[in-house]
Amino acid sequence: MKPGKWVRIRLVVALVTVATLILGLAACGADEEAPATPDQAASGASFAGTVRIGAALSETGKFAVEGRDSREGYDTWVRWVNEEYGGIEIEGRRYAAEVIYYDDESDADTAANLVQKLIDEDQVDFLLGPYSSSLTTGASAIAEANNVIMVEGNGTSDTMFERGFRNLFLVATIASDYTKSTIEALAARGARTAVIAYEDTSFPTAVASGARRHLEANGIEVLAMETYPKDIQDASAIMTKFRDLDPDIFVGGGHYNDAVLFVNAAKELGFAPDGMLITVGPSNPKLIDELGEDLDGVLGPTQWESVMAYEGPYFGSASDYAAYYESLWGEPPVYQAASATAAALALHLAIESAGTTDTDTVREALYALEADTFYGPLSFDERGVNTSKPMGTVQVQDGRIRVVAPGEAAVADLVYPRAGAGGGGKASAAERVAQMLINGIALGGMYTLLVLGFSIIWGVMGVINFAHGEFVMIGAYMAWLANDVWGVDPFLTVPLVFLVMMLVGFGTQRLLVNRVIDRPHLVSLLVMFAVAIILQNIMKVAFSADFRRADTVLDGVWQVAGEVTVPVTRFWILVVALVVAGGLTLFLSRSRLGKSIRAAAQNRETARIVGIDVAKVYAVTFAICIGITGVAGALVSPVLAVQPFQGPPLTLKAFAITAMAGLGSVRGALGGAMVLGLVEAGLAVYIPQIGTNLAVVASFVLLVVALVVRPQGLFKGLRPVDATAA
Amino acid sequence: MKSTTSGKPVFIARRGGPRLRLVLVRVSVGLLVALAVLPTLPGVGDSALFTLTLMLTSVAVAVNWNLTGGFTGYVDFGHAAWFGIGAYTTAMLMSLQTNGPQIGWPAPPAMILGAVVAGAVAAAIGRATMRLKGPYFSIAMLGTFVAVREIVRVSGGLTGGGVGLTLPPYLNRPLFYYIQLALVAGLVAFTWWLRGTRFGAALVAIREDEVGAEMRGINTTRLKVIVFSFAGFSTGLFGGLWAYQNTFVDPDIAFVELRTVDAVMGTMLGGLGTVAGPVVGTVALFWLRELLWANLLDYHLIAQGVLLIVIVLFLPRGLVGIVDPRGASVTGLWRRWIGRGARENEPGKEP
Repeated sequence: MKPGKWVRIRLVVALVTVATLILGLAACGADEEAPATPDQAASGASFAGTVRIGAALSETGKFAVEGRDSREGYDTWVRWVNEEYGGIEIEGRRYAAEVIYYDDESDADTAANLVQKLIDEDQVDFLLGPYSSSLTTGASAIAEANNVIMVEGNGTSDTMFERGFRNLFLVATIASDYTKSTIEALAARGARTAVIAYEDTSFPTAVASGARRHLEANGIEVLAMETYPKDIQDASAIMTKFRDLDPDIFVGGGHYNDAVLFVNAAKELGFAPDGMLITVGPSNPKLIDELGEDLDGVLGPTQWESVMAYEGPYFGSASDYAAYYESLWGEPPVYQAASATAAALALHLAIESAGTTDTDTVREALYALEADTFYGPLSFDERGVNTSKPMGTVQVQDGRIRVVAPGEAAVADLVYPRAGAGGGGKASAAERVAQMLINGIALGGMYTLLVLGFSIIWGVMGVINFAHGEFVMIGAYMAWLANDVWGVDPFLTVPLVFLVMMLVGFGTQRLLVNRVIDRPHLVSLLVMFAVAIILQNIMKVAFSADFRRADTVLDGVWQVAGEVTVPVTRFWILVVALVVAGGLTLFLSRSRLGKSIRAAAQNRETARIVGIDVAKVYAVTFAICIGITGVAGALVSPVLAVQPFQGPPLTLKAFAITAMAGLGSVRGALGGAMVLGLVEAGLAVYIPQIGTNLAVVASFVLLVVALVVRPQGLFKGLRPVDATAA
Repeated sequence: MKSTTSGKPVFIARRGGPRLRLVLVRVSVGLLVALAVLPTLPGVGDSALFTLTLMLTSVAVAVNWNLTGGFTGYVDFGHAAWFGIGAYTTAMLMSLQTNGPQIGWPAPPAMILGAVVAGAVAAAIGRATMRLKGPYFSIAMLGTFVAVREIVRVSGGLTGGGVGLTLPPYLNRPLFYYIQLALVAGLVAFTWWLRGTRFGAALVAIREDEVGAEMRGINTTRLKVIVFSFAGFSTGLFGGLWAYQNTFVDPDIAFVELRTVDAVMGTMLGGLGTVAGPVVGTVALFWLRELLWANLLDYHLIAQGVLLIVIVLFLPRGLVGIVDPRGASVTGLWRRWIGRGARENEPGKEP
């Protein structure tokens, strides 16, 4: 290394950073006056005044898309009321509507803070809701404490309406009633048993407990109820369990992305119940693009669809509304947008019937409101919930979204049982054990491939690659892209992914890792952590956070005996993992380069003395390991959801396996991965309801136990584990 | 002062000379008075106070994190767990929601008990995990964080499960602002005092050379666990305050990885293992984030990642390191900026 050059580089980087910050400050100062400019009424001259309404909505963060839809929904009402309707009529005089928006960054604290700001500083007369239940819960408390009415359509969790608030009104159907119309329709067609899987967060839990109530009320037996954590990547453990129960209907849900996981896992495992109800996703055309014909026959609830037979004096019918919306924004409205418009419309109607903007009078008018609209009937119960609008049900039929329930809004007949349903049956205890072992070994094979690169980098150069999972993610995206654009099978992309990722690895090592290799552990950990954040967000900007899936011809299951099946894709991943592990062992023990790598790992100074170019060895090792990691990503792209944030859980698993088994030990990686795979599979199958959640923490429990019991690691690696202090 | 093996002096209880100390005290008191009269000024409404209160919360978490991460060198990647435990205990004791425990305590005892519970859990877990060192400790704590969140999620009867718990709303922004201002001021003063005591010196000794510290008769395990559980207690208290102001907890907003990340980044930016570092760094981070949010939207996290790399590579001793009395000369500052001379005394450097 040439120190002079290095100093110059540091200098340039430092100067650029300072310059950026100063420019940023200047830009910030210039922007001070522009936090969301409301759409001003075009024909403002004839209005007697303005009704000021405030809303915090997500323009950035995880709810950015839904936040934009909600905003367009509110703005549709603003445009309509000011340009078409002629202003809000209060005692014979017309008032313009104005909505002031702020970006809540999809963050609950920020949303609450902005609602406070809207009330204090902007002195709005009324509030419209933010997007999502968790943001609305905090924001509505601020509105309540300040006695400002908030009408909303996109925060539907039941707990919000148990607080006895007098100022919160919901136009949409409440979460616990999401599945009501679908379950009634299925019960009428003879469904008798059901299973439920739901994400353990606020909204899905409310939906699932409501679903259980409606199932039981309709005489359908609930055979099992399973939760899963938010960052789940793979629903196959839950689906294996469900397949053994052979239910008539499956009810699953969380958010949009979970639909991809469920349909994937059901296909992979040959689980095909007569009815599949997925609570979020099927009403979204994007999902059909992603899953194709696998989605056929899947049911989903919807707050609103433009083909529904609702109409009213404002905006006309549902399809009139959709046409007006599309003329403004160039795209058809999703139900989040329609709910937002309906919320604003409810407020508008209440103000008109109250004849004032006084909070108490408008509140009474809201409670008394009864109106038919494009969105369905509007009227509020004592909680402030619109109970008169039923939830709709859609079914994907031949690649199109059709409304099948409730009767008054339906445009097509419910197909039940869905095409291709059947299979499954109660498994014997022995079959369950065999299936559990197969699942565990298959999972272990995947983990082996995922952990090898991490383990060897740590063993050879002592660097904990905190961005490991992100390199997996990039490999997965490459395979998905090749699959999506050119239809190449992920297994065929392996050589190319390996080469490209080797180059990426080489570059990363030379540019960054080499510079922190002699610094304290915290430094390399933080640098790689920063790399992880950067890669995640680059991919998010490039491909959005939607879950993707690659297709391979090596899919489906082999029926081995009775109810025991072997998942084909995972079997071939296991084969590749074993080949790679064997090849690496040979490479490290036989080849000259492999011997240099081991020498550099054992004693860097001595290796240097005997003429090994340690820096080069490190760079090559890093390149090979990242290459393998990228291949792992490409191969799991048909099995695990491909998405920007899939990395961190994989990094943590890799850490746990490596620290448990031995740093840089190929055999250790294999053994540790198998142990973890079997433990996770066993937990998921044998622990009812929360098995999948426990599997998430299994790797950490194993890690801590292993470190405490045997701090030097279970296998002899390239570098001692040496985990205990003093 | 003591010497390391390389013969270079290492600062143990570095609090500057008497003159600098006087300046620092004056500045701090002035700042405190300014912050105290702030709510009475015209134009400062509830929303401004709310923003400041949230910032004070982040400052407190960073100061607490620095007690173990900076002073003893034990980098806790799961610190947000104590915040979540404090918040949840408070919510469980106060909430009257139908699917919760429905105890209905008033806020002050609930928040204090929340802090005690957080401290007790930290003590119990610290006794096991503080035997691990370096990255092993860090990842074990990250695992603890994930495990605690998962336990909260699946214990529906107590915690409301994934649905969370709502608290009775009581939104008195100036009151919360003053409470938190007083607590943060007290916390910083306490850290400053602690740094000068034998106890504080012993903590830094653990970071510099744990075996050596033990040989000199310091019961390192006891010290580590004490400071770790104090940090848990204090962060838990702020968690309880946050829960009460937010009026709502669920596992995903009470247990946020970003809270730990912010504490680490704020402390690194300000100066790891210094008294003022976490305060200066967190305020700077808030200010930077406002810039990044306002102008970069979806790119802001990328920028934040780049910033973290820049801090770690080029400012290993943080912003406080720039104005350190030892480096007041231009050449010292320059050397530190280009990265030479800063490395020898970098916290956490293994001998």
